[in-house]
Amino acid sequence: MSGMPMIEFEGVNTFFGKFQALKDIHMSVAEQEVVVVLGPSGSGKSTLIRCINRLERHTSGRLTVDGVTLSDDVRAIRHVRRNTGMVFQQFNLFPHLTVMDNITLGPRQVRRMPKAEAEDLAVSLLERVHIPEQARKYPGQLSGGQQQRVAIARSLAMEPKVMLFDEPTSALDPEMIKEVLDVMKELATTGMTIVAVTHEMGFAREVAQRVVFMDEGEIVETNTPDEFFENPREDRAKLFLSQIL
Amino acid sequence: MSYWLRKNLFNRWYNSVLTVLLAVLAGYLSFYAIRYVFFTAEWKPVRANLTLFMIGTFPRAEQWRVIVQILLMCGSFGLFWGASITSARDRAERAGLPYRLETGWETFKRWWPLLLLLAVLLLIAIPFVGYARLLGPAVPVLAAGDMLPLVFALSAVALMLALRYIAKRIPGKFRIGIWILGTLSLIASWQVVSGTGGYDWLWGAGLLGFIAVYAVRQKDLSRKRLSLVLQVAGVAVGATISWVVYRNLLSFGGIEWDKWSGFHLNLTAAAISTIAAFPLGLLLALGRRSNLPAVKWLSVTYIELIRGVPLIGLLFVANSLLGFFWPSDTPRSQLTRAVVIMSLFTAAYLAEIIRGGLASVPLGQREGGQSVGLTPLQNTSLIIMPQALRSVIPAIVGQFISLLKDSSLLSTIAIIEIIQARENAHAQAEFTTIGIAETLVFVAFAFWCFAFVMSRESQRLEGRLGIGRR
Repeated sequence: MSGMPMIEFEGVNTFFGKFQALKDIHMSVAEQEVVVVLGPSGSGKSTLIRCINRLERHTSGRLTVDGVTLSDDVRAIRHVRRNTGMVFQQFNLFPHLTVMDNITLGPRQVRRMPKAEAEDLAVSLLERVHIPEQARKYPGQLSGGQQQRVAIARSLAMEPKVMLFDEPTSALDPEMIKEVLDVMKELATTGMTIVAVTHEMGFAREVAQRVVFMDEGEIVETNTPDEFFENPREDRAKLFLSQIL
Repeated sequence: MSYWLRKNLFNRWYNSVLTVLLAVLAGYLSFYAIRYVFFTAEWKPVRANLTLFMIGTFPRAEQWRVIVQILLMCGSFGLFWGASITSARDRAERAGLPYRLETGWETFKRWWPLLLLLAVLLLIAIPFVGYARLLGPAVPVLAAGDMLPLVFALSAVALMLALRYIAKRIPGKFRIGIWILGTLSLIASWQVVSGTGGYDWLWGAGLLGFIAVYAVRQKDLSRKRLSLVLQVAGVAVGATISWVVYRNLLSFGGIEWDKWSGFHLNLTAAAISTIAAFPLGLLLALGRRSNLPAVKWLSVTYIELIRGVPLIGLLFVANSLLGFFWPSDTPRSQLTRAVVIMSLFTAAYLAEIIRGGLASVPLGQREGGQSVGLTPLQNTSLIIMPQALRSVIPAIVGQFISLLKDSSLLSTIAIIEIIQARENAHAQAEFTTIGIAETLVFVAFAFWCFAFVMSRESQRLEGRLGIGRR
């Protein structure tokens, strides 16, 4: 599989009505690569990441994930969603199910895994995100950081090839951000392919192999984290960094 | 006590004035209410026609069927009650939430109207000494048979409590058995009155099919196709068994439900329409939100058409209206047609309620389901619908309460439910002019008791299902 990109955008455009959210995106993410997408709000970075598992439909261009080209074909979408995990800003845990059921739902319904096996998997994943004791609780009983870690475990339960993070720490209180970032960092060291939209510059510097900077629906600059933060090439990137750092 | 009074009732001058005024009003009203109920009201038409009110023109020689029906229903209710207590406790324990068994007083606060109704019925049915008027002529001796209603009522309550006691102590592993037994008893409670025959075997087929599917699911086969084949085979075998049993081994006659009447019929018709309307309403709600234009517009047209017409009008044209959709050579009974119309009517309202619930589920929930690869059907049934329904429980129960009350409209198409039974009571020579208001008060009271309990139960359900939602 080496050499073949896990995710490939080739001239992807996305319109919401007349508004163009993504403009001629060319980007590819290799297997085991960690890419952080940065940019001011409204720059299209969420749309970009949501196109990858088809939560948004791209209007034109070619988008290939794990060798499958995304289209309206239901089987293609199902294949991609089975092999990508997504973590949302608002967690999107299922409030009417226990933590255990939240995690085992995907494996049992989609992968038809027997209950006992799915629960063993869930327990090991909860250990991995450091909250094994919360399995029987409901999401509403957990703190934001714990909920987000459950959401990560829920995505990992599908044993995905790609993990997508859409501003995973933006809805968290400051003291909880670290616990989520730690889990994400551990995940990066296991060789998972990761695309993350985040404002956590520390995470980008420490973990990312590449930083993609977007503005107004375009990819403005692609660079290594060190280069990007020390020496941005583009003026818009410089302006953005001066505002947030 | 005096502190509470001062804090809540007399804390401001205007509050004190209001308190005094309302106390005077309450005293005035209760004085007249008590004087009316116990002294001036003429309850004779109610007492003389109690059976007519309750079961209408149901054949008197077959009354025992209704009695057995009530006993069976009390039995299954006791089983469900006990089992749901333990399952709620287990759920809370697993989630590490505190659980407290509700006290008898809390249960009583929801259910007292039904106990009151029972007490009133017994009071009317049993000719207690000097009962008719507090100062009227005393009836010196009670015959042994006069106490039968009391014996019946006590045994129904005792049966319910005994089964609740047992069901509460059944361990979780066997709890599904309690649910099945309760359902079986519920089905039997219907059949003991109606007899078996016709499509009755479908009841048993449904239950056995459920057991089969449940059993296969429990085995949790990883091979999807085998599991599916086993489930289908299980349902087929269950249906066959049920057909053989009901058609050949266990067939007995009864009173066809066209002949049911009185308050018994109000409750039955409302219950059946409730059961039939719910799945239809669910489908219509989903249909209205569907992306498929044909499904969407069909649902919208149906909902708006039905909601724009009064139920009474629909009942009047039940004959011709149903003829459009349900052409048949065999004439359906008046009652069946009316109940179909009530179900179709309620389904349209339910659809709108459920649609509101669906809209209240955050978009992120669907995306959460999509991101783990659920199909649209799985997403709707496992993620969206459970959350949508629990947010609209009060409105749904409200709809069912009005369905129960609307069952009185059946009187307009010459079905002898309780309102029409009252008309018949006043057609008797001795009651043409007396107790006109009293009989209505009695009918209203009977409806109110059930409606109030339903409303209280929905409040409790709402609170209980709020688990984990914050």
